[in-house]
Parts: sequence; structure tokens; C-alpha cells
Amino acid sequence: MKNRTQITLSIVALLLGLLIAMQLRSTNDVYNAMPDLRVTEMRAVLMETIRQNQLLTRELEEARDKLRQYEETAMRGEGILELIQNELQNARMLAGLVDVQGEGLVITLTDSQAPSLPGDNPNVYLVHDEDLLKLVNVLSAAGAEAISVNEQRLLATSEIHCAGPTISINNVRVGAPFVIKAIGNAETLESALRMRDGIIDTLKFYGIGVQVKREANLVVPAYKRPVRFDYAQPVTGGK
Amino acid sequence: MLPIIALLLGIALGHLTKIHIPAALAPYMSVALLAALDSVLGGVRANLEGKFDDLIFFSGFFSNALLAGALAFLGDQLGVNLYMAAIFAFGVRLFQNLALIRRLIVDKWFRQ
Repeated sequence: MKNRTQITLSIVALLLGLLIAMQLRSTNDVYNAMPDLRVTEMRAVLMETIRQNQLLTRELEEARDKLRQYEETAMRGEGILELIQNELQNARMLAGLVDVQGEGLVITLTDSQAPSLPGDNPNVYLVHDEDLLKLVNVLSAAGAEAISVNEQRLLATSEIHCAGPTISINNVRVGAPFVIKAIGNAETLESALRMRDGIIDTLKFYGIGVQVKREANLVVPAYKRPVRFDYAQPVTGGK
Repeated sequence: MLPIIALLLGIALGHLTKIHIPAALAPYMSVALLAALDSVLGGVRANLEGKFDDLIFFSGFFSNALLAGALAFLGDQLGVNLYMAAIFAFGVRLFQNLALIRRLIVDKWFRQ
């Protein structure tokens, strides 16, 4: 009898020990497994960093290439003027100081032709500065390289601002219909505009006439006025 | 003496073998473990009281552990935190048993 009790106790104790040990280990496992939850998040960050790293590497290579070109031309003592002129031309294109041409879209916005019903706010049938701003923003986001609205080239400093019945762009008042020209990949630009619930859907909802035309070669005019900086000064000597 | 050796042996065995409890079952396992601990302490108490019955002890050990685990599982399925009830019940009993064991030991060995 005493013997049997001992054996019973031993079996139970053995099992208890086994359970305790297994439980301890699985608790450790659970604790160690916690960081796994963040793995997907971290992977996204890693991918983004890798992508940026590649971009920067490419930029570095380009810069080195340019430096090498400068050095070579300097050694030969010729052609440096040409290089600088190329750079200047690029800078002018970026600043919007020259006419540019290329593939792109012409978008025409007209005020709504729908007869306004009594009680309707006539404001919603007009093209507003916000509509234009959103449209231009979408085009920029889709990679447009040069944009003009009614022959007003958009610069970094251009405003699109409500001015009574008209809209002020580059301090010039323009009115409907608005013709927006954008140079860039026509397909990308158009699909950005025509995205479901995108800008065109929104405008059409209010009855505003939207015409989109692809052009193989359109000209976006230069900014016609002098560019002046009264306040901004280039920082020299810094980074 | 033999049960203590068996306990140590069990712990060693559990550490050495590569049996893994799935993480999903770990909570039920912990409740079952609590029930098992309670049974063992109950057994020690019964032993000190001289009422120990190995069949009751043996069956209680398994049925308590299994039932506690099953109850916790059922609670999870029903959306009621039944494992709390198990933890509470077994926890209270555990401390009661510990207190009784202490009294019995004091009575037995120090108050002859």
C-alpha cells in the first residue's frame, strides 16, 4: 500500500514537472515571438530605405559623371562654356523661362451648361480656383514637367487665386473657359485625371464641362514677366 | 523521496525534449497547470491529515487539469473569461491548502 502511494505520487510528480517545464518554455516562446508582429512593418521600412539608397546611389553616380566631364573639359581647356550653357538651359526650363514643347494633355474646363434650378446655389456650377488647384496638383503628382493655364506658365511662385468672377494666375486675371496644358507622359497624366472618384469625376458631378485631349506635340509658353527676388537671397558658404 | 526525484526528472525531461505547445494552447495549458498544482498540494494536505487516497488523488489530478483546460477553452469560445474563474477558484484553494499544510506541519513536528 505504501509502495503504491509512492508510485502514484511519483507518476503525478513526473507529469507535473513535465508540464511546468513545457509551460515555461512555451511562455518563453510567446515572449520571444512578440517582435515577429512588427516584422511586416519593419520590412516596409527596409524596402523604402533600400529604394532610397538606390536612388541616392544613382544620383551620386550622375554627379561623379558630371564632375568627370568638367574635369576632362577643364584639362582640354575647351567646351566648358558649352557645358555651362547646357546647365543654364536646364535651369531655365525648370524655372519656366523658356517655351517648352513635347507630348502632353490639353484640358479644357467650362462652366456648367446645365440650366440652374430654382433654389440651387449658382456657385457650384462655376469653375473655382480650388478646382484648378486640385487639377494642377494631380497633374504635378502624375509627373507633369511643365503646366500652363490659359497661357500662364505655372512657376514655383505662381498663385491660383480667386479674384471675383475671374481667377488670378501669375497676377493675371483669367476667366472661363480654362485651357490647361501639361507636358508629360500623356497616358499617365490622363489616367491620373480619370481615376475613379478622381478629379474629373468630381468636376463632372457638378456639371462642369471637362474635355481632355492628348497631343503628341504641344507648346507650353514661357513665363513672360521678369523674375525678381526682393527678399530671398542665396545662401553662400553654407551647405 | 521518490516523488521529489520524479519531479526533478520531469522538469529535466520537459527541458530536454523538444515538445512544443502551440502558442494558441498556452493559455489553457497554464490553467491546467494551476489545477494540477492545486491537486498536488491537496494531496500533500490529505497525506498530512492521514486521509490520503491514491485513487482519488490520481483521478483528481487528471480530471482537474483537463476540466480546467476545457473550461477555459469553452469560455474563450463563448466569449466569457471563464479561465478567470478557474484561476480564482484554484488560486484560492491553493493558498488554503498551503495554509493548512503549514498548520499541520507546525502541529505535527513542533507541538509534540
